[in-house]
Amino acid sequence: MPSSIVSPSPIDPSALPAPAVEASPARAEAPWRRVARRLAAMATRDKRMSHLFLRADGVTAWRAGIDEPVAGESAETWFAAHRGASVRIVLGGGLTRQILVRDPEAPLDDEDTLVAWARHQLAAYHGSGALTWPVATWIAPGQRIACALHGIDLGALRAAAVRHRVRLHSIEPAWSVALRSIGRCMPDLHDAPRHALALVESELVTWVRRESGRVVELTQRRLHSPTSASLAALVAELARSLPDEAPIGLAGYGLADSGPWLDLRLNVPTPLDLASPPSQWVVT
Amino acid sequence: MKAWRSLLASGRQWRRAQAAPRLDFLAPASRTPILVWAAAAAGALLLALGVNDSLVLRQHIAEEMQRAETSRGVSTAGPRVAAAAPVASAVYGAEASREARRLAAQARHPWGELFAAVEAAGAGGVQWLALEHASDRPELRLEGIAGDSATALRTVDTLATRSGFSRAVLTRLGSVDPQGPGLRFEISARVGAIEGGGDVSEGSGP
Repeated sequence: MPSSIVSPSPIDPSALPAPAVEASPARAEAPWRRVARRLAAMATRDKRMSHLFLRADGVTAWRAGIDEPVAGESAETWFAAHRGASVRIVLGGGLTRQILVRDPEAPLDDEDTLVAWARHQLAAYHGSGALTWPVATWIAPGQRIACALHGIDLGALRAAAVRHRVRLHSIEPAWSVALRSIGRCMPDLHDAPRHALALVESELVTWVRRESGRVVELTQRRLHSPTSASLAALVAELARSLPDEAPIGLAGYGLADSGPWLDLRLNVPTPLDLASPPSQWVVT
Repeated sequence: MKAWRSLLASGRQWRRAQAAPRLDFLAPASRTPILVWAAAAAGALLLALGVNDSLVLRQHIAEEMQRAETSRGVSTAGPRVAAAAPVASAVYGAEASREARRLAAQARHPWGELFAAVEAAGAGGVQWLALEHASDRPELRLEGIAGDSATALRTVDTLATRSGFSRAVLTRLGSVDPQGPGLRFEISARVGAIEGGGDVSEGSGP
């Protein structure tokens, strides 16, 4: 897709209509008519779930009941074309920044404290703009994870969904969705007490290492080039912290080639040279 | 109880520790659980029932007050009937109106003059025992005790000569006690022109 016609963000603020244009007919509408319209919208709502994979340069959509993914320009254009849909949004690795709390004694079990701490850490790397990024958290015994969203306007995304009567069910990072898919897509990996998963999105690799079900390492790295050889070298470097027998899963899309994979620990159920993410890692 | 709660909490924590992380940028508050909707619906239903009950109770109280007001209005209609009669007839219907007119007539009746005339006729040794008379009927019955028959007859004559009284007759005369003095007597008379109320008073002079 040529970069000249692609919006820098899946949500293009300039594409949104002015609020005043939207507000005036709504004000003139009779209350009973509005209630009737909402009831009709509820009745005609598509209960089947669609999935949207958001990247910085566009979206890939899996319409409910259809396996073939469809590429789109932005979330809003997809919302406009599918009014009344129910959607789960999966965020590509380029839109999120993750922080795993490594110190088990750190007093960060409170969600607000964890969010404040994460924003402070992010601001040190990404500047004061990171202080306003939306942050989602996961707090469980032995693991505290904060994930920040940047590159898209979450408020505008939700407003667009409301405007087009699209119901958003979740907005999750891709690695979090992929971890839940491991049991289905890689049973061997799921059963191993120690394992790692490398999610590839062209040059971006999200590496997640787990021990006894807990995330103990969560990091993002960039490949020198989107090739199998470059990925294999990076994985070999990252896998030093793993025992020799621990399996490693590779999943994703966007490489120039897919294999051969010489490391016997590597588990690659789908080729990595696909143009879009494989549905089994997105559609849960 | 506390131990159970902590056990449940630790069970939840263990399950959460085993589960894959789930990080969602949609605020949990924006997705209203169905239980909250159910609780809200139940609350709204209870509120509606409460409001309905209070409305019914209020209506009931209003009816009771109206009934109480009505009965009080009828019982006190006598003294101020002249002014209230048209209103009463309009509000309480024909029967209540008749009752109101009867009470009004009773109130207008010249009871004072009547009693004065009877007392005057009996002055001179008559003890009155009973007086039966209704404002809407002309009959008058008097019962008394006189010292002798002459006193009783004189009382009858006195009444008969009073204007407003007519057909005054001695209907019974007998001794109170066979061995003792005193005669028990009864007088029956008609009191005329009751509605006008003036006849008796005109004749009440000495």
